[in-house]
Amino acid sequence: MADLAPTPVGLPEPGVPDELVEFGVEAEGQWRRVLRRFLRHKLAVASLIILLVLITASFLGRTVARYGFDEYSRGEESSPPSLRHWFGTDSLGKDTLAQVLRGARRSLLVALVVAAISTTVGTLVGAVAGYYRGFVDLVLMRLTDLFLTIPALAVLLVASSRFGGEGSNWIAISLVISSLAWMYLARLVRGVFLSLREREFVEAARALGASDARIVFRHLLPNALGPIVVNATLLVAAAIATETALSYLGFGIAAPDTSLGKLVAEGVTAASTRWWLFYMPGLWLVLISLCINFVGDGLRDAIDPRGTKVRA
Amino acid sequence: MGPQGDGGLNATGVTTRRLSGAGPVILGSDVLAFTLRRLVVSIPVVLASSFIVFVLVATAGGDPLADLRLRPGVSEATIELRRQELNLDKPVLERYGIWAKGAVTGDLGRSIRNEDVGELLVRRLGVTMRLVLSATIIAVLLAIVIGSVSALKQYSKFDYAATFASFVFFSMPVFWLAAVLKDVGIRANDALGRKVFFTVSEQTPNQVGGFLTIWADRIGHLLLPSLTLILISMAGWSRYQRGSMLEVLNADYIRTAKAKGLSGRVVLFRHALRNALIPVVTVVAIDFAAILGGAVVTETVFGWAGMGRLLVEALGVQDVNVVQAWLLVTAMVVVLFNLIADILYGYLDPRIRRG
Amino acid sequence: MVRGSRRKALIGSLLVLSLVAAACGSDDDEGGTTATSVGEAEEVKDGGTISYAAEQEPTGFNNLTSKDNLLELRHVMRHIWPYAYLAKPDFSVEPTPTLAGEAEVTSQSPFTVQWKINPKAVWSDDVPVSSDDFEWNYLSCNGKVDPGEPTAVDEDSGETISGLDCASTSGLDQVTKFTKADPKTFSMEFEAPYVEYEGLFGDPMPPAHIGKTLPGGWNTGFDASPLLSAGPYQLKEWDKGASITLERNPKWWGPKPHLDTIVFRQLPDPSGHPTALDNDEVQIIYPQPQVDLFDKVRQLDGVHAEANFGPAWEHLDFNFKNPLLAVKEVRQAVAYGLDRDRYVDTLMKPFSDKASRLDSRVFVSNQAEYEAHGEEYATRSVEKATAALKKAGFAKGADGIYAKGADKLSFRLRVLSPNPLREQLQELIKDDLKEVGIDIRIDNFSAPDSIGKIGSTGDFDLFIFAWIGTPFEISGTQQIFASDSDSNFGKYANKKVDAAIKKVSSTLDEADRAAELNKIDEMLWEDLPNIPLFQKPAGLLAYSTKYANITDNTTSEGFFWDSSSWGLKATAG
Repeated sequence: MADLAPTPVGLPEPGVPDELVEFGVEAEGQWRRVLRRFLRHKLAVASLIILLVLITASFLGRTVARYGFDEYSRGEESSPPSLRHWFGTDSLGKDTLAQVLRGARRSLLVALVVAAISTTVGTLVGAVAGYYRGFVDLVLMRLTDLFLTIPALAVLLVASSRFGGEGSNWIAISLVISSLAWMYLARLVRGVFLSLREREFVEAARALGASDARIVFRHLLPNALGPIVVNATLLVAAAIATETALSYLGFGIAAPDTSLGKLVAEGVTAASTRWWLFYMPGLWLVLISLCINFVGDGLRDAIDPRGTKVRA
Repeated sequence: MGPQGDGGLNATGVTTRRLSGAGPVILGSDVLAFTLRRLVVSIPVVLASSFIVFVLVATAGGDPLADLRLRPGVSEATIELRRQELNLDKPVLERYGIWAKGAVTGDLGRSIRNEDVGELLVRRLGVTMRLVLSATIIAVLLAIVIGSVSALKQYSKFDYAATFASFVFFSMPVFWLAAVLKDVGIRANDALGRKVFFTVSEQTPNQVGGFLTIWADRIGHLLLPSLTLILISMAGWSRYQRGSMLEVLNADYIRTAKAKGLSGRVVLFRHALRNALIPVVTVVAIDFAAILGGAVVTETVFGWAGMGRLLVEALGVQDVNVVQAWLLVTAMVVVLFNLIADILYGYLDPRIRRG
Repeated sequence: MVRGSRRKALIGSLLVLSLVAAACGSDDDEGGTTATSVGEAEEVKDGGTISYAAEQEPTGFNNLTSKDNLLELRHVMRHIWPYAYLAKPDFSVEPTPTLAGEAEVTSQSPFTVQWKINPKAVWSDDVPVSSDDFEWNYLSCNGKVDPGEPTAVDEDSGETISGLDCASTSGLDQVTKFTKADPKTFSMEFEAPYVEYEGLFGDPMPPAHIGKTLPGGWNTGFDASPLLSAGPYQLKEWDKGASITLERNPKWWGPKPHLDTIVFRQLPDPSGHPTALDNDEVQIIYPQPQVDLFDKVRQLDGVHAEANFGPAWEHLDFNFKNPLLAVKEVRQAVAYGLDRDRYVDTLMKPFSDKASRLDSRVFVSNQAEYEAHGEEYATRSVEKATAALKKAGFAKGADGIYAKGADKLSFRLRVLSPNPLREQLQELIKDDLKEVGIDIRIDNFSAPDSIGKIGSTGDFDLFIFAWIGTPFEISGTQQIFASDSDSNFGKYANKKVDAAIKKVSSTLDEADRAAELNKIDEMLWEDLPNIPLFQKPAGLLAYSTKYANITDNTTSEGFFWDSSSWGLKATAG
């Protein structure tokens, strides 16, 4: 769904960068090189720092906001940002900064869970399909297609009408968004595995009597790790975006729980009348997404060195 | 999300062939066989999908007649009538069977409010297509240009600016962007003194005038929603184009061509661009299918009665027939475009051609 | 936000009606209806058009079928097909020009009422509007199987039922005989005295002389077009999904309207309405209450905006099937613990400073018959609440929640979401009751679950939603509080109340009815089956100041009630 979950940006093709083909002994040195290249990316590093600050602030919650998210400041309802309330207050007198931090916690949690689940499932499916090929591959890819054709909203509908209740609906939302997101990674990993398994080192390992599992985990997987990591990172941002769109449509996190997406969606109508309810959560959201995307892009550049400028 | 493709002529298939030293591919008959095989295999997938979705929606837990039952003055007879009309008295499996039988003969049934589903879908699809086609074409062109220039002048100010802008648009919630654009549009109208930007719907009702007037009106209504879609899509695609362009530019055969002394521009246009286009084309093809059913938020914000909105509305009242038809259409589009993408990729990739 | 939580339709807020005396309207008072004095119409030009932002799309034009029984469609059809009475902004009721005067009771036993149709009333094909049309309406909506009617079979019972889909049979199902004295006069006999006869035939009805032979007939024959008009406008064009355009009906027999055309634009997302109004893409909107929306509209230049309180009222219901809630003192504790004034101040005052707490279940504060009851619950008192709980044998636990043994006072409070106003209300209530020692768990539901479904399955402990009254129909009290009613979600039962309700439904004198209803409300304050919270604004009427003579009407007749006097201001420009 295009504007529901925008395409993760700039992912490498499912070919394998030559540099990463060698594994094992080289692995450690290789990752150190990646780290070095990443650190050279000023934008990505800056984004990482900002991101960490935002995340820490979100989890520190009350310490930063000085108000609890369920505290009503009577007499100060709907007031614009001031020294007392840095982000202003809403119609019940609740501190907007406290709400934003609370929402951010929930959004980040959902996004992380989504990234974790879909990365795991996607990698598993892709690895098995790519390694075993044949019938297994056929079945798994058709399964992937199946998930691609089922509309997410339909699944969400069921999820939301079955799993209600205070605080537990974020699990359902996470599960459903995950079910949308694993497919791309599955194909990606499958692609990597398909191309790698023909290589000589795999033949050699097999000749030496290595088991399937060993080959997959020690030889093939580390090489796919690069694209997987990048994809997972970008998935976090995409998950936040998806949850936001869902909240706008009315399918997202349910009250009394809140998320950044829900806050922004609720704030849309206040854009010109109580701007702080719209822009504060919005900016926090965009900033977090932006930083995650930059970090992901930086990782991609670091892992895929063929993108660097040719030094003549 | 990104290039898909499986079995046969896909990206990985290409690599495999190259590594295993496969000879040049004879494309004609291969493509046909590939297509047929793909289509045949897709049928059970779509069937399974339609079954799962039907059951999900039909058993979602709401009661389409609940509110009707409670309205004072609604007779038992009316309720029973509606119940029978909607087949709510039958078990789910039977209802699916009824639907499937109809669907196979081309009768997609009627919606909860007795509209002809086929007609409804055609109408809504038309609306979405009009929005999405124009937006996609422009977005692709822009993405190719911006991405290519960014790649050529990597790490230049333009590259950084374009990267930054892309990411910003990409990280923004769609409805946020749409709300901002609407506001900007209205201010622009005020400044220009005439209504150039329209914020709702596809056209002004009862617009009188000739061909030009009508089309000017339609374009005026298209501007803001397609701009929204363009900004969002372009961000992703231009990054993709940049990435694949970079890869191609650094590839051996390009360096060889340069070494042979061909002028820079010739090299660029003739070799690099064409090859760098392939991944973008495949991504766009796949994304297009997603956009078709997925421009929900944009359609909602701008009041276009398209496919995205249709699904939301139908789900809200458990209108199974409509959801099923929607699913069929989008499933077919997904399959079709995935197929096109894979064929294009396999066909256009020079690595195959060169064997 | 988007999803249909604030649909103006008859769906989602169930119809409840307060019996009202026809005569006494009331003007401005703390209830909040603006004077809406139609007295002096301003000078307007002839010609021009107006576009309205409609939220719902019909799928056909017969407003009386259950599939198209939408308020938004009624706004359209009231200009095209005839109907019997008009509810005015002050809640008074008068016959429409289609009738030649009020209906008359011609006999007490058997109770018979006679209607006379205006001799000038005619359809656009020159066939007069006649008793045939009313008869067809009656036959289609009486819930019985009449000769020649399409039929269906009830699968469970096997009996033959009427194959005609009519959304409201109330009243008409009590008719025993329909007599046509002449084409312009007819009368109906009732089983028992039916006091609300003036409320019959209140919805636009289709033409019988072509309708009966139309393919699809009553149910679907008018799906493509209303075909004929007996009103000031007729259908010009229906651009499905986009707009419905009405143009003047050349055969209209009444006072000519000023505007040439009226356009209903389908715009399902109400948060886009103010922008569309600002950009002159529509000239009149009527969005549901949402604070920022109202403020945004009020900020616009060249726009007149007003919010009036209508017959919709918000309330908190108890589910008597929960044994803890069946204990009167627990309900009392909740009632003492609520700070209803605070809710009004926080949630309703931003719309209009005339907002106030509602202290009656049978009348709303704009009505003359309104009496405030339940004084002891008027202001919040935590002491009284805890005293009541202690009296019933509950004791405060270590966690601050009152309990009796293992039974803690912890309840599920539900609303249909998304609905920011209600969700905020929930938070406030939870906060207030926490202090009393009652734990509230917020557990909301959303489409496809509906208020009807959750209510009728009793899947709640505490439930908040709204009822909408109209000046007519059978007493809402009967619908909500009678022990055998389906809409009595909480399953409250009190024989004395049942008896009182029966009595009032056959009381002919209006003043007596009002007094009896107020007595019932006093009984209900004793029992507390639910707690009335506040009246809600019907919506925000906002229109471009280029137009004049547009006045609000919070009954379901709606703000189009006087559309014939609308027009573009005659003042230069």
